Amino acid sequence: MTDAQRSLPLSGIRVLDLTHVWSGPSATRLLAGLGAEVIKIEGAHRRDFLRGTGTADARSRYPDQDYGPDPWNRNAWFNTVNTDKRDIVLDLKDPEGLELALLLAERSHLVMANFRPGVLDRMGLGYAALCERRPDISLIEMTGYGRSGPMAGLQAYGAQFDAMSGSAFLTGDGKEPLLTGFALSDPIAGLAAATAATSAIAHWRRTGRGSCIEVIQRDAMIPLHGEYLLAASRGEEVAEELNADARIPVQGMFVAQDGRWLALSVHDQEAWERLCALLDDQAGDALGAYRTVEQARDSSSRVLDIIATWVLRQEADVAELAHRMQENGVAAAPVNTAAEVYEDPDLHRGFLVELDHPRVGRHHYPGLPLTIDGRRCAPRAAAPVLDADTDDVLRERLGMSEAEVRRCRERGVIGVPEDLAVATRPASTQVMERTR
Amino acid sequence: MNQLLTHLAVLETGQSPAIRYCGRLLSLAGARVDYAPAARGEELADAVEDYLDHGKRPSGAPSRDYDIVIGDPDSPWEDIAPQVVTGTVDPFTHTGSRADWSPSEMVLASVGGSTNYTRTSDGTPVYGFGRRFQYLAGTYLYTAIVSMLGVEPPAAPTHPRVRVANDEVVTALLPYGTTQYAYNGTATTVEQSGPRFVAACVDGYLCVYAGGSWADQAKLLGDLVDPDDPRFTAIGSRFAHADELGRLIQTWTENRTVSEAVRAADAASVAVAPCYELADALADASLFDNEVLTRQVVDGREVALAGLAYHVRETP
Repeated sequence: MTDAQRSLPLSGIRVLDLTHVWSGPSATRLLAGLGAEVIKIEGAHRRDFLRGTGTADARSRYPDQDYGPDPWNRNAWFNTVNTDKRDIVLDLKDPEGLELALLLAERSHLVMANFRPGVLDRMGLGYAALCERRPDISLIEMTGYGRSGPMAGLQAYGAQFDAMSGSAFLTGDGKEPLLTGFALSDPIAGLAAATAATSAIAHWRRTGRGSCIEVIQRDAMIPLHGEYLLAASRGEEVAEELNADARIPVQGMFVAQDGRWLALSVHDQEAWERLCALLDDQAGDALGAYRTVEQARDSSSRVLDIIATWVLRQEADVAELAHRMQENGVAAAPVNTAAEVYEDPDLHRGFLVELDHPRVGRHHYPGLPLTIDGRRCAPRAAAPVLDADTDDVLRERLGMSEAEVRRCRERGVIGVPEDLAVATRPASTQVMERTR
Repeated sequence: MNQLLTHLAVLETGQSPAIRYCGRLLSLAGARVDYAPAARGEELADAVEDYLDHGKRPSGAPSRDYDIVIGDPDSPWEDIAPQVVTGTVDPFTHTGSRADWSPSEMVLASVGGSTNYTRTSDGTPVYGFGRRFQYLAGTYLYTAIVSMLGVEPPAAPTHPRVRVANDEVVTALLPYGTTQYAYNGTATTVEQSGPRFVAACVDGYLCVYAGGSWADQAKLLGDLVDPDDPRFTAIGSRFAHADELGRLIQTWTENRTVSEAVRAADAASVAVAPCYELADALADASLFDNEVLTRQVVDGREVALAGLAYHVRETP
């Protein structure tokens, strides 16, 4: 353990990670970032789906858009979500592989998984089985739609959770739904699972007792628009126009000459006056006809048109426009692409950190968006290569000898078979039983 | 049963949505959460106030009476005892060039990179709505603070001990855009989620996730598609031809009700879901069964209040 890890609040906490794809691994990523030792279990023929589907995958996920000889170790998504973890490969369908997993669980404080309901129990790793080995263990089980009910066994993905939360209509114009352009509900469910995990750890630290906690991924987005549900439940009219906010008198999205967009929010009278003063004579005069920000709100369509025309006339780029507005106390920002986010110097002060990865080289990866006691919770190690830590973990955590480890590998209980180790796998559209 | 933190007393000294949401999470986990009335500035809208403050009470007690103090960055952090766990949410990284910027949900989502992902059909970026990223910052604060409980603090900590940067929260929740850019200099977003569509049915809208098995989707779409169509068989090319696939899916749904479409898709193992309006969510009994929504009395009226997104099933 490094000094950096030792200083973190979850230092000394051991997590057995049975999660896969995005939501679960994003939760264990957060725990690892807070200092926990996270041991990720994959199968030789059932590796994490986020490692990609080989040469049928989107090339944009790979360095120089090149799959390389082992694309499962070179996928940007996997490598973003799995920093600071150790990776072992076990055959959990082999009784000896299952026993190794249970022995590791005995030496762990918390297990996290995101299989379909019932799978963990059938694997022999359900809460009852874990408690037999370690009575004070905690289990965080992420399901798609819950462990029971008519939807329990259905496939579950982030887009569906977005759709079923009500947020797609709130994102759109109230008449037609608009899904968020990425599966936001996945990392949100992951964050919810991380809150459950730290709550369980806090409880264990105080009482010596573990907890079995379920996180229903479909439900995780609901609390994030709780005020809208509350208002609707008492009969209030609830609707948000596209890019508007009922509490913000003037708000909109404006395209500039270079095709980039400016986001603008005018919260109050003071900001309104400052905006009017910023705009040049013609537009400023036109806006000045609305002396109060509430008058501007009442004529929002006309006001937004005036601002849009002004923005389009400006030669300054949107970053400069936003900066100028912010200097004058008006909330504004450029709509940043990943390139602009990556190139932002502010994010290279401890959030985006360079790490060496044996299969892709040296690149920046995002850490946690927080500091503790003045120290950034920055990623300490790149995402693990498949099977990178199997032998070490078994020796360190279970005290197995070199000979025992070698025997397990020869039997196929652990590790990746030779024929899978290097060759590029053919594309597969069938994946293991899973939820997101 | 969700109450794992009943032994805690929390003082909330801020008014930002992020801090108040963090306080709400702590309250839902069983902590006693007091707020300092003097720290509250302008009122939020009724529903927001009612939602964020439910379960909390005003108090003028000193900070030493609490285990946790959460507040806005400019809260009075002096004279807080070392053993108190403290935290704040900065709208923007407090050591960065935007430290003095004025925030809004739209501004945060845009500078952090999220807005760029969502577009209308004419290409206008859409930030979302409400205060979601601010609540998510409050959630990060909860996670960090709770992780510190029971851990010996430094001898003379500087408060607030935890600082969450709301603009970084946005970026942290994105798929892998910055890594993709680092790997190959591209900033495309379409591949960063499986192809997914919203298609109109006779009586509503259906969300279809098309990133799974093409064989299953072809079976569902029947005569509309060729199961060997190279545009769709592999996920990489499916992204490239997403618009075409979307139109085929729309053709399939347009004469079906949402229920019919869901039944057919479930039978074919294709992942779909109805697009709920708020009324649909409120009518979904499973949300109440799961206790992510509960019925509470606020100001004399029964309302639906959202709770925790996790459920403690057992504590032996």
